[in-house]
Amino acid sequence: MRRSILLAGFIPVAFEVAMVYLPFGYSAATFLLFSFPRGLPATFLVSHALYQSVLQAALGSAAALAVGYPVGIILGLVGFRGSSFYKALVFLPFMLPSVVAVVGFTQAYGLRGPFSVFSNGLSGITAINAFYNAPLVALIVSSSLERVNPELVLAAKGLGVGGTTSILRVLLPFTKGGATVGALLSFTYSFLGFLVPLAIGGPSHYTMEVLIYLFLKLGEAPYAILLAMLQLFPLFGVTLIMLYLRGYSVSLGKLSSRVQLYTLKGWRSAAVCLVLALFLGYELYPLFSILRYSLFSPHLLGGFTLLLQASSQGRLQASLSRVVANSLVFSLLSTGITFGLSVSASHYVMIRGGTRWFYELTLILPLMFSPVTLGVALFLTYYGVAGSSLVWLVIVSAQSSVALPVSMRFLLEGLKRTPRELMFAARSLGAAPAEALFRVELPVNSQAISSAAVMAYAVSLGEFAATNIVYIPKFTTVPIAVYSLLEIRDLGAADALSLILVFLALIGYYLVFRTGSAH
Amino acid sequence: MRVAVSHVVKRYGSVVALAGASMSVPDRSLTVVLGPSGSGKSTLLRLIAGFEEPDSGVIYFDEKRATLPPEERGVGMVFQSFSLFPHMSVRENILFGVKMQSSSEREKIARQMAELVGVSERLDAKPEELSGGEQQRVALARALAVSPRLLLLDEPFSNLDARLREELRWELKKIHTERGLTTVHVTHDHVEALALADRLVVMRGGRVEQEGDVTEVTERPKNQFVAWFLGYNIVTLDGEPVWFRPHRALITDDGELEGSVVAVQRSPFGMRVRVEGDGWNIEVLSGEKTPDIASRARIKLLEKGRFREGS
Amino acid sequence: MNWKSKVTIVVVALVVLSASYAVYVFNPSATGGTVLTIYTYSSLFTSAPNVSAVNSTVFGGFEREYHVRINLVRIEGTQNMLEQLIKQKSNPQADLVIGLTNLQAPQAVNSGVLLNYTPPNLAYVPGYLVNDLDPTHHLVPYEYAPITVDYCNLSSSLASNLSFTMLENPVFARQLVVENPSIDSTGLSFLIYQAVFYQYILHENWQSWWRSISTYVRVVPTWDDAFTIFPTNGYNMVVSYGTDPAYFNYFGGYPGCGTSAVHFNGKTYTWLEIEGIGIVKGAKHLALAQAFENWFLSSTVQSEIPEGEWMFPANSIVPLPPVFSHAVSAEGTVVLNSLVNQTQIALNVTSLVQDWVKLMAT
Repeated sequence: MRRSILLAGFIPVAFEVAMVYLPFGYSAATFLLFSFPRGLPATFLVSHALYQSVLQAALGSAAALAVGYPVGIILGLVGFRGSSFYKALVFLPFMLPSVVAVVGFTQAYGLRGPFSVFSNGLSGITAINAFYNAPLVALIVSSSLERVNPELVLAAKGLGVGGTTSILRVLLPFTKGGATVGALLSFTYSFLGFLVPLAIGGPSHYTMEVLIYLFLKLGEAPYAILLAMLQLFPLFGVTLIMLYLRGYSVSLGKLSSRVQLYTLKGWRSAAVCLVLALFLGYELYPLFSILRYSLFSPHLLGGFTLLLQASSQGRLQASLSRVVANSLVFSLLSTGITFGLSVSASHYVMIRGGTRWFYELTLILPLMFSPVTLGVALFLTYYGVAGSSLVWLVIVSAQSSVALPVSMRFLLEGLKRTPRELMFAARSLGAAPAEALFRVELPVNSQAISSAAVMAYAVSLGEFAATNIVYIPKFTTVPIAVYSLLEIRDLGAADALSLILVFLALIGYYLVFRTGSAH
Repeated sequence: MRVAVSHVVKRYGSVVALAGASMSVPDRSLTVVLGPSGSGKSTLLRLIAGFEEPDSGVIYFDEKRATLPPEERGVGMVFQSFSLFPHMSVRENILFGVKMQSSSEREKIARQMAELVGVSERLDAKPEELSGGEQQRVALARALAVSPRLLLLDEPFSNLDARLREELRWELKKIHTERGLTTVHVTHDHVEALALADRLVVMRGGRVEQEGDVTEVTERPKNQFVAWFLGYNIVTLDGEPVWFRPHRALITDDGELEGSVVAVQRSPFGMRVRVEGDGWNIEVLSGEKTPDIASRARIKLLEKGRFREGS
Repeated sequence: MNWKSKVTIVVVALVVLSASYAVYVFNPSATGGTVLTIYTYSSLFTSAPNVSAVNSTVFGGFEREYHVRINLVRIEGTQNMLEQLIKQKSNPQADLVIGLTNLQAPQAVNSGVLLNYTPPNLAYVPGYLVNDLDPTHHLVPYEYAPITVDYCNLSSSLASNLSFTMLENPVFARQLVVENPSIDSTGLSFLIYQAVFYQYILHENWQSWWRSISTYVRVVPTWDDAFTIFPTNGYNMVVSYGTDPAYFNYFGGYPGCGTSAVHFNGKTYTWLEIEGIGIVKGAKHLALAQAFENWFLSSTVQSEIPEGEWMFPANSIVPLPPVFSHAVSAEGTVVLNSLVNQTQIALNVTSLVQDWVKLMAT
């Protein structure tokens, strides 16, 4: 095996070991060796938190599935003008940090009043989880439908199976895998909920993540580690299932669908339009509220005035320009690192061929180490070594390790669909594996690249939990600053800063889509 | 360049693709590997190209063991599915492997190759805009542009229309005659094999049934399988299997064989008549008069080939 | 362009980005001149009628006199402030920290992130305040207030006899808003107030009171949240500070509202929240930091405290404005802080909070 291939495979693993496995192992060992005899923490609190985590995860994924699945079916089957734009719009919330969602929901539905069920308590938590994960489910399901051979439908029609219900019966089985993966991802993200339960749920809805964080804040690092270890078990099974299920992706490109919208008649057309409109409304209304309140209330650009005030009073913990620069630099670096490592790892897997179970498992396992746990582990392991001025490197690493597993899955699944012969052709023409990768494999799979890059950028930009544990005021990022504003109830300034965050996300979005829209 | 394949074995899990195949490719020859699906011909090609390693056995390039990775073997390859890079234009595809830096040199090569295969007008087009035939020509140009020392073609015409296939066969033969590049061409079509080959290798079930000069193989097929795959008729006469080619038999009244006419097919060169007898069926060309279906016919054999070994 | 060049460009761009950022980070203040970095909490002086005037006096005044710039970093949550200091121990970024309370003092002192210093103006601060905060002077008090229960629409007889027993009554428990001690420092102080009172004065289990009211009382995350719902919707009482009547008087909008500490057997018992200022160990501008600490205890700054922070100034010679006439101070009360060992309290805070959370979640 060539050395460069082995190196390509080794580096991502080394990164994960250094940033995830080693810190976690070291912290766990420290706990077991030095603190264990003190006894276990309040088991009641722990079981309650575990129950809440599971409950919120179950409710969240059920809601995401209930909302996202029908939309996914429609998007996969019905074509209409502006469909890729629609998809881009509804995927936007997924890329947004949880803090923006909290601000948006608070602003949109109020703290009191008839709609506050969406922004308070368990219902609020579920509503936000659905808000986040339904687009993911919808897009995964729709892309699973797009890959169905159209001849299958024609064959079905030829055999006398016509009509909507029958067509659906033929096509729906193809969505099983996609729906399952979407549901599992939703489950994981909801389970690991940190900011949303903290800000919206109150003490009776603290999840494990929140509890870990609180224990750390109270100076009880060993208990925090123990809880983090306990938290691994429920997620381990989920991660394995996700590894096993193959062939999922998020298709953000143009639809090649079965039916055009204008051909549908009567109730079908109305139903489709209604569902699509409602979904779009649900996803965009909180963002719209943020927009409205930051730009127009109480006067033009009122929110921004408040933001500048807050900045000059030191409430963002660093100047506004510094905070924005931090976020931009960290997420760009993190995206670069994550993407580079994803490419490296995927390349290794493709070249080796076959199914590299152990390797892929090693790289996807960090998905179940919650960001809070990662932050805690990194903090306990690297702080003395890093010293304050290198903290930003730790932050970037934390963000990268959180983003890498997901990004790599998307990239790998995409690359696996490259026809083998294309790579053979490249190699027979004199291209070494690395050259073939960059000149053929990656350009041909620009869609997979977009997905992976989008995931990496989104996760890094919005990362809150790990960064929050590791940062010092000089390195405040936008999500942390928004949270500070939220805590002191400066909603106007929080709106304005959230808007800036959305703008930063959109820049990345645009850049990535330019490369992705080639096909 | 000469290629020698010696007792090569390749397994995929429990499936044995090559079970000890040996053959040789003389320098400057156009060697055709002929065989049915699953005979291991594509696998053999992949091993020669270096995309995979044999489980046992050796492949020699000019008497030296072939150990280099594919990108260093100097082997050009054309695939059944064309495999043009969809994100590049025809020109860029052709120039993919060309290392020369100067853009005027590169343009010259692109034009030369395009002209050679007949796609000069399409240099700026994208693969999706080309027809199947045009794509395959570009694939050929691309493979030749890197001046390989060996050209491998894996059923390159299977995905093309019949007329196009014939056209490209001529072109391939012409290019080979002009350049003298050692070529290995894999196909399952015996007509194509006969049209192109200097040397013929017949494969079945992961092994080489017979190899040799094309005349040698066609005039002296080793066993029934080879004869059958070449499209010959096989009957048993006096307890012995005997082969003859369809055009080397006459429907006359004094033939050795007797059977009944079951079907008739038109071909560009005359009527083909299928005659069934006692445990055999054969195909012959009719003479001036086409016999009626279900009539009795007597066939006179103008050649009676016998097999050298048992079958 | 050659693929190799493209990849190289991307990698180089990222490296350049990292390098320039690293330089930016390591570079001392680009503006030139000395910068004094002070960590404080978000709401310092923000309740003042004229915020910019107060800031100008307190910080601007120092800046002008000493020709320095003050970089004020506001961190939400005093516990977060302390954690940041501990995180930065090997490379401290701040010179001073304003706002650590008596509950954090033991941890702050033990962790070694502060320097002890006795500013000359400390002489004007009552001894009990200094000792209840930190006898070693790593932290010195600049303001304080007793924890009390604000009320509206309560008869004066009930108000003057406010006690924990009275609040156990569902009629009153329903009207009470309490901040979450696991999140909010006011809530935490109140919890300790109640626990210390029960343990040291009543010699009873502190949990019994909470059990009685848990189904009725309204728990909110923070003090700010508490004031968004008090005094409407039937929530007539809220845990807050003895200085609130001054705020009510000044801003109006709280007619007939007042505040009260806890009464028992003819005495009033108070628990003080004392806030302190301290110099960070390893501060880059030590002399300036010392000067600022002293400045912060001077009459100039301390006279901004009453109406700027709505707390009692530590400096005892500073006169209180008239609006403070109905405020509840420590005077004439039994100050519970002096009865307990601060370190002991600090050690037990975690389990106290855990027990509370567990209790309230059922």
